[in-house]
Amino acid sequence: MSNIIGISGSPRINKGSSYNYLKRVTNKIISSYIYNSKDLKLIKKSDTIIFSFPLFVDCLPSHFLKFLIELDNNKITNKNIYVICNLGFYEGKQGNIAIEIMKNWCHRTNNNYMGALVIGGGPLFNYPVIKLKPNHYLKKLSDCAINSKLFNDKYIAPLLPRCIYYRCGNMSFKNDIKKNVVKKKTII
Amino acid sequence: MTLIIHDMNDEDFKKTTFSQMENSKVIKIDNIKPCVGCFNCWLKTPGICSLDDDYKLNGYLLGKCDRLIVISKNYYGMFSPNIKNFFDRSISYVKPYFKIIYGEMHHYKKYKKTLNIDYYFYGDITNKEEKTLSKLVKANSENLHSNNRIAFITNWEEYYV
Repeated sequence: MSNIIGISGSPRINKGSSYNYLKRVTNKIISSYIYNSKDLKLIKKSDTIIFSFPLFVDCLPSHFLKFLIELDNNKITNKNIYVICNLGFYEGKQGNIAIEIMKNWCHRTNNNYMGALVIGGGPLFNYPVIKLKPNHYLKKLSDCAINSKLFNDKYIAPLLPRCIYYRCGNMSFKNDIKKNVVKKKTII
Repeated sequence: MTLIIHDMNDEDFKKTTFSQMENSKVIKIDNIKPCVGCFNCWLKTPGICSLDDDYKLNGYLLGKCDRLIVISKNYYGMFSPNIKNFFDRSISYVKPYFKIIYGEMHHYKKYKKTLNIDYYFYGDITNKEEKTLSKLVKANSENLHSNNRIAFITNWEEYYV
């Protein structure tokens, strides 16, 4: 049994999907948005780190990158690193650059990259049926993390046809904008 | 107008040819609040970021310029945090609505023109990181609907005045 710690890379701290996915894997969770020296000590003591973050403009969110640099400066090495990345687009494949960046980070900091799960349609983390697919792979990832085994990189799309996903997305955007916004003239 | 964003020292930047470009606006990205992922710049106050600082109108700024020059240090095959933050906070340059382009889901274009972006990366860059940066720039071009060029600065003297 390894000592696992989860790090959430979402600015929404404990509301967003990154936190929710991470919660299904581990109970010990640190936010990379708000953290203190005690949290860094906890990370130093652990042997396995699971990062979970949302995809922002094709790569990592800026505060999460800052946090990774901080870990690099604090000489966090020789840990097993697992990555969970979620994105708003349908295809999980679009998260491959973020995973490459995490691999580069592991290489530079002498950590062991153990595998990644990229979840397309990340915002649907709590919908019935749809959540079964990510849950299945999250369970696999957590088993691998507990036994320090390699997890094959997996890019998944939601259990939903793409045309429905993107039409529903567009509709909800339209409704939100109608509810909130302001007349056309004021839009820049 | 050419917009130049960079994360260098002011002194170092003044030595480079970028500082002498005509019709350009230079922004040294500094003291920028991190994006909180609220999507208010899409859904509540389109085009305006809800965080109150100098970078509130990033999307509009990108919409106004015809060329963008990005000078960033390399961190693990990515931009530096401040430069990345500039991009995080300029998502209002595109519309929130989804569209399928070349078989992949992306966002709709908001402005009619196509932005030309030149990326310059400096610092210690490994071969793998170079590949990642090229991929990242390509993906950005698909999402921001822009034409891209990329260069890795290994010898600064070529860029000095």
